Amino acid sequence: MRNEPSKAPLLLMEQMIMVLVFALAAGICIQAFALAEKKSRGIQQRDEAVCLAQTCGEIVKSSEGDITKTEKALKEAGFQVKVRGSKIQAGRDDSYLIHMNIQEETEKIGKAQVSVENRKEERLYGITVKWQEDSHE
Amino acid sequence: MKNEMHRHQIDGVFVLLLFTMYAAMVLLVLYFGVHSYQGLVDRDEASFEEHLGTAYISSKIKGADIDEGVAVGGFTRVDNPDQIQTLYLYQTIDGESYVTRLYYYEGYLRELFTAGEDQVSPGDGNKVMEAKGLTFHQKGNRVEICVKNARGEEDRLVSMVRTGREVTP
Repeated sequence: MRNEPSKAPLLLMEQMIMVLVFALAAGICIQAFALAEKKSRGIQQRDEAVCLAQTCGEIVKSSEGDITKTEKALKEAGFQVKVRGSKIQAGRDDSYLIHMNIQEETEKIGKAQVSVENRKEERLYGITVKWQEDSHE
Repeated sequence: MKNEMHRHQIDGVFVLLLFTMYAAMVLLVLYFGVHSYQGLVDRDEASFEEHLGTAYISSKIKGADIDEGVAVGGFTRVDNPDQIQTLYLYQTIDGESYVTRLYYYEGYLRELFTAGEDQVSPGDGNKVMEAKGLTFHQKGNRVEICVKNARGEEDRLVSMVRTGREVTP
């Protein structure tokens, strides 16, 4: 009977290299999954922010920048509102905070900056709305 | 000789064990990937569906923004509120007046286009999307739309009717 050398150590080494390559690839994949998850959450938050900004922008515009009218309309639309001068803060729940800064661009054009933040105070979305000051009802 | 045979067997077991571990890890990463992808697709779909109804109605309002072109009322008559809150969008084509009704009936957001305010039944409307409810509130030139989608999530949007606010020279 001849004494042949075992091939197992060679196989073992090959498999260990295989596992190492796999571990590297798996690490990259998991990072990609985590990034995709983060992006998806970000997009969902931005979608919400766009809707909120649109709603608040329409309310400011329809009130022609009148702080009292805007505050009343926001409350009617289910927002909790805080007013500081020409700045209005609104929110429906704790998730998002909407800032509205009402300004006068020219004598006939009113302007408001509407921006939406998440609870970490990161700005998600912002729009500028304008209206004609002397339009009739 | 016997010892060497025993060592060879242990080496073989190690290789097999390592291969099994490798296969298990591949399956685990695959499972994790599928689960993660499924989660992303579900979230994106939910987010899309959540705003679909309000976005649809809002764009309809913008499209019908003519003088006295938008009204909220009951299904049978605009000035007679009933159980089916309906958004009326009026338009004139070749001198004839037409109306588009948007309302919720039997699990669907529906749309019905008719000549004038003809007598029609709520079931006649085209199904736009599955929903669980739809309400409108009109105050002045603002229309608040509230759609409860098929998942039961509520989405609210305020749309402004601009007609009638033109600047006079």
